[in-house]
Amino acid sequence: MFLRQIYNYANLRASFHALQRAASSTGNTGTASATLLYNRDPQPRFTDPETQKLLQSMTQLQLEKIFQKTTVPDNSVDYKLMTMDMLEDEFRKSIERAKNRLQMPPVVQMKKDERRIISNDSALSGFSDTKYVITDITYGLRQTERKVVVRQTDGTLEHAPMEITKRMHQLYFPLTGRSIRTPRMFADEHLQRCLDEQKYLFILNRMVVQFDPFEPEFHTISSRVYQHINETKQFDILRSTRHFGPMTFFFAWHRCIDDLLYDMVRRDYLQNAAELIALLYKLHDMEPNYKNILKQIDEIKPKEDLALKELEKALKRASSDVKEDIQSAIGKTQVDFELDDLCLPFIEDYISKHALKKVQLELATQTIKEINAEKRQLFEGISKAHGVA
Amino acid sequence: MVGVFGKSVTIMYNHVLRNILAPSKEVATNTFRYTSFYNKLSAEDIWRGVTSVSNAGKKRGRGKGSGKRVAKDLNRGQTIGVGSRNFVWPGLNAPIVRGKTLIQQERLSEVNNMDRNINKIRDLMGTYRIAKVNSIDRGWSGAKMPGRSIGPPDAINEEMFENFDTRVLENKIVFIMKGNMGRKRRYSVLSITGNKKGLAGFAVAKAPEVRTALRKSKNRAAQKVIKIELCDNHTVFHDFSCAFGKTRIFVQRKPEGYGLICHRAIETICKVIGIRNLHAKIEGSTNLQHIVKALFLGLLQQKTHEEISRKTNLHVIEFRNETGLHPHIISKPESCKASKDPLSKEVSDYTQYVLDDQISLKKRKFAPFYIDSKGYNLFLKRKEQVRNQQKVRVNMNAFDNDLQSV
Amino acid sequence: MSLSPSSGIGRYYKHSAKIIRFVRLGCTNRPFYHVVVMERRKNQHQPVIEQVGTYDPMPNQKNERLVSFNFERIRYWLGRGAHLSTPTAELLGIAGFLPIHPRTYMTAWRNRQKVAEDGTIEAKDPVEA
Repeated sequence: MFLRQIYNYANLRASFHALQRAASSTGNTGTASATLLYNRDPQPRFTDPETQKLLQSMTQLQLEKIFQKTTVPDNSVDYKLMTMDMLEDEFRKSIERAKNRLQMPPVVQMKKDERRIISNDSALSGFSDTKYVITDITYGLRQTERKVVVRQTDGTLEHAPMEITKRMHQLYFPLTGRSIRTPRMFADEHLQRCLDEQKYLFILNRMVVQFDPFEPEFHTISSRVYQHINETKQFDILRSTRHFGPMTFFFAWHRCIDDLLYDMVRRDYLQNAAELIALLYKLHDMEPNYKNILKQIDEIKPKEDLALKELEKALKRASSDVKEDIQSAIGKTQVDFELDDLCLPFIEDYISKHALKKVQLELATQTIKEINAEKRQLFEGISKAHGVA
Repeated sequence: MVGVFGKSVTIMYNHVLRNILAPSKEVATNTFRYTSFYNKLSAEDIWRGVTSVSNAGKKRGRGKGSGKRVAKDLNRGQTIGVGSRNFVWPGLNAPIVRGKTLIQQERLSEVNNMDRNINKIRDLMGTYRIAKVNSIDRGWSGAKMPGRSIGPPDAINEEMFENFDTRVLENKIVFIMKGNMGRKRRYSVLSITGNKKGLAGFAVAKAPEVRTALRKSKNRAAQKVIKIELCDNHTVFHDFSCAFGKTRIFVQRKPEGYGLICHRAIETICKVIGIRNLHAKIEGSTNLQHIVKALFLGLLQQKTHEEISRKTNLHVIEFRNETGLHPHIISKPESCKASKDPLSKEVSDYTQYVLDDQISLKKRKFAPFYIDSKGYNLFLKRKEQVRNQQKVRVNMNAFDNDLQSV
Repeated sequence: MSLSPSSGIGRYYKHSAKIIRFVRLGCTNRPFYHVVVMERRKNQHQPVIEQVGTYDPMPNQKNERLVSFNFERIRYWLGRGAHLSTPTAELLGIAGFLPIHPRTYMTAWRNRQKVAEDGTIEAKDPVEA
């Protein structure tokens, strides 16, 4: 039924407008009662390099999560003998692959379906009892260049609506994983079941394959998933996947970052929390001083080689370096403590000025402050005891 | 002229034909033989001749199958004078005179259980059955011992063999010549015992009784348990080939879920040891004792990852498809070469290194003989037209219970 | 694959007459057509020079007839002087690639006449999404 509605051209436009109305009415509140949609074109803000950098940093690159065990047709194992340099190269390649996997699906505006008539021949009316859909199957064309036209029974020749165009493209040039008909799981009742079982990654991954980013379904489904996550507070499921960036962007755009911020503070991702607030300020042109703090973070953060860091982590089991032992015991370095000092005032400033869930957030910041102070004391004590500067 | 000649030939032909069809009476002699084994032999002898094998035949190995099926004696339960019709025959199944009355031939009531009773007796006969083994406990073949489990070994000095299981690999009769007894028969049993976690041992034992031999071999195997390293708790460390005598086994390491694709003896051994995935091919003799010995040699001579990295001074890195080919460090050496140069030839390839520079022969696969035949081409042509039918049907039915194009 | 591929293995003479035409595939009661280029004199089930399109004459669930053309190759073969069969020319006219074929106009006119005679105008409108 859901599909039929979408297929219908007139209905499509009507529902589109209804959704837009819904979005504009509830756009500024943090409630998730209606489906939140982008009321302006989000693409320029999303593709902005600074935003991208913030989103990537918040996504985090956890190799264990990115390369977690999955079901594959061929689960064979390969062994290789390597020197240290070869191993380093291999790690570099692996990091590149991981970054590739984290590439975010774009956030763009919904495309409107317009009727574009090519010609009108009334002498042809009644030439057939059905319409004809004609597809150009010339080799080597891009999907966007490929024309699909419809000859209506009244003799009108027009460009096919989006739904038919997509169906014809999939029919003559199928994409792997995408099916001609929308899978049943995207129907309302099944989607709700998936959401209740918290299969967010499954839904989002399948959605990215099945729909193009400019399709209305892409927007409604992703919005539903993000809002559900915001309710259940299971942000960690999406962390270190390609969907974390768009989700964060969505929350920042619709000014409902408080739950995510609380989660970040609680997990001691203070830098990410600061970045999230900066993103909010940036999207809504609120406080221009956020640029300073981003700059300071950049300065403090050492330009370390990610591959080498991961390699060291992997090799650490056998290593007997005292300094690393301290780090692994506490989980923090000197730089991390400095970053915390930088970020905490910024976060507290946001909480006092703009936050909706003030009490909760203040409590969380207070707790993390105390924990970090203890950790710092421990860190310094151990460092002194070992005679490490 | 022609007419005359034709006439004489016809006459001659008719004459011959008459002679053939109705030969003169003097030529025909009928011989009759009045004796046959039916009237020469007793019923018992004839019956035995049908249902059993002669001594001479037995020696030649005849009638091995028929011995198990006991022939039915159709005479049992039958008495003269009693049949399916309930009749009184004076002098046969009744006295002729009872008291003073002369008994007449008489038909009694129609109801008679004679047929049913006889069939019941016959059904009871010849119900010889082989003792049934539960399908779970069954070995490689039927009720034979090889492949069957005979439980954990007996405890030694209160040392229990917990989680151990013993499987019979070979159970055969062997003879030796004795000075006073001649050919002396004994049973030889080869069995393997293990705990499915890398501990296993095998032994051969002989005894005059099967049961004793099984017990002896099981307990002897328990005393020879050795530790075999398992890779990831499910397979071998690497491909290897091993040999004993004329038996050579080529073993391949396989990923989880592959199963044991090998000789049934190797499969049983692997199960007992705890190996769940492996491919093995035996070349040469398939003597069971040799297979066991060769496989144990091969398993013991495996190079573990730690050994390899210690010997080569290189890291052993694992790449799994299921984790996106992310390098996983399995073992690292004490000190590692830090060169970017290509490695020396002997360690450049892991497989080549673990196989000690041997290369396994990959035999070429030949196309089946019918590939160019007319019939096969026709078959392909017909198949091609319906190549997607099933998939489309399923898809259509799944979406709208209807067969129509999208 | 033992059927001749539609990408074309048909042998042809350089100067022989070519034609863009239908080849009936599918099965009994379920026609499906390939639009192909082949030598004019040949039987439709011979190997073709090239396939340039498809046509499914049976309307699908959404009441559409699906046509596809490789317009680039059709242009090439027409430029080489290939002939067109009438059904193909009609389809190309409907697609807006060629002027509408007169026979399409004739069909349309006859259909309209028939509808007018029957007096059932509404019932004939099959367009629904």
